[in-house]
Amino acid sequence: MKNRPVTGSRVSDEAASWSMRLDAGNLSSSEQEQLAKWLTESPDHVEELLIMNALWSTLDNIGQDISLPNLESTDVVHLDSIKATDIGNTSRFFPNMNIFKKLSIAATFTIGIAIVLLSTVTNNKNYHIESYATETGEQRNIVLGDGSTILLNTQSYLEVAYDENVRRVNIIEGEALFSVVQDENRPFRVGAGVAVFEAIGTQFNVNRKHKDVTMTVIEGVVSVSSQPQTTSDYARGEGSDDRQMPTNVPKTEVVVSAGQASLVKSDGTLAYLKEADIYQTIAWKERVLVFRDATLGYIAEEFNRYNETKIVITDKELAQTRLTAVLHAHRLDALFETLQTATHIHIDKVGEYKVFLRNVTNPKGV
Amino acid sequence: MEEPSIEPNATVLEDQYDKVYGFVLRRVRNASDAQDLAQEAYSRLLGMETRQFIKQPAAYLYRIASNLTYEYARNKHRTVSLQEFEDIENIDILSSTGTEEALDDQVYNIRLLKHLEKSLKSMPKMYAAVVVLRKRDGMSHNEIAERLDISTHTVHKYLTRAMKICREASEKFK
Repeated sequence: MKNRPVTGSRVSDEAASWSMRLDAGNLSSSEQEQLAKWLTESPDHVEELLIMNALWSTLDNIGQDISLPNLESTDVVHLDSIKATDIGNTSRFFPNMNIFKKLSIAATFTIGIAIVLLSTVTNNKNYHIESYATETGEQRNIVLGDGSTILLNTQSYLEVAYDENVRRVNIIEGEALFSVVQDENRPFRVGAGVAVFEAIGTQFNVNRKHKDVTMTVIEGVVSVSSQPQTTSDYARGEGSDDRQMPTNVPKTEVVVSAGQASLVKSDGTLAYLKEADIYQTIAWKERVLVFRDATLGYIAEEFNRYNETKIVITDKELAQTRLTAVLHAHRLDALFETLQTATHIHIDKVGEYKVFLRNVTNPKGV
Repeated sequence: MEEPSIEPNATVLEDQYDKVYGFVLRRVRNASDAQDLAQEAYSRLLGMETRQFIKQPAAYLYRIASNLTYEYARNKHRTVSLQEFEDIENIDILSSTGTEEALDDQVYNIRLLKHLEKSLKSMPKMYAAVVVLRKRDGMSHNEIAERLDISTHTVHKYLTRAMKICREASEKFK
């Protein structure tokens, strides 16, 4: 096992991005330079890029019978076409077949078993799914068939599936504000990781960031439940049913009313906040960020969600500095101005898209 | 050993990719080996002539990994397989490293591929769609953008996210 987490980390993000940039081809000389610089920063970068490229190259042999996820019509993704006929395709995995003639029959037999074992069939559910995504700094208003609206915040991705019995939304990442038109026969159900929120007609905000999901009710009532991962999911190494629409009728755990909030953690733990700050919660609509006694690390992270220019803080102590401020999400200059008043912070702009915040008393960082 | 020459021939590279990456993935199964490989590649990379390196970092990295793979294969042959296969020199040294291992690799790669295909099924469908169009249909990023009516920037973003999910899946797979 690795003694440090790599997947899901920033290194892994960057490696994936570089790998795909290389796949696109024609890197500009400045991109080549950036890549060279990134690679020389750490052996972890080298390792992760090699692995990412290796995985990408493994996908070269993707089954020709793998079908394109259905993006418009009523059937959802039908990618499960791993059939017994795949055995007919094995030659592409064994281009040097003559070599293997030298091998024992037993060994060949092993391949046969491996392939048969791989021919697993999985179930699919049928929905009509629409997906919506926003780029960095983008906000998008979505009007659904029933008149309900979703305001999608920056760097967010969600999927919507309506049928005659239920209105389903699944937040894969990011934040959204829901205004739900009342329909007693068709509950409005929002899934976000292990959390499920259900409303009939109301307004509420869901924020899925990292592993936690915060839901704040602006108007009306929302029921909150969580569906912890089952042991069999763990055993299969699949994690929770994260990418699926919330299907089961959720078991009500907590009812949250206007002005209140709930927090669901990735392990299914559910917390309830009696007095939420509504203004702070939905200020993002106006691209206003409200920080009350927030750490600089958190503030940087929030600004980074909205802007291509990224704030980097390497000094741990500095990242823990607390600040109260109301700022426009795109006004980095205003943030820096506020920070200038704190004398121990040095603001160092590097290139067009990076700003390092450094501790003057400890300039190298920890 | 010879200094690696750059100006790689594109088609030769294509051909070698599988071998090198098969090697890398085999190392991934044993995490400490993967770290050793990366460490070694990293230190060689730092020793490279900087001006050339920043012009073509990916090609250099690939070349280093390729050399390491070759060295590994050669050592392996010396110590293990010679007496077992007398006609060993006729066999492509990289693709048949100790044959049993090569077989293992290929079975592993098939299993990994199936696992990744499964992971494609469960990820958001736009992420999966860009991967399928790229890998199954061989479309360029621009063509995918046109086909799905999204920007190439978004294509890049979806591909990146899909790969992140595949990477996480690969960790769980082993």
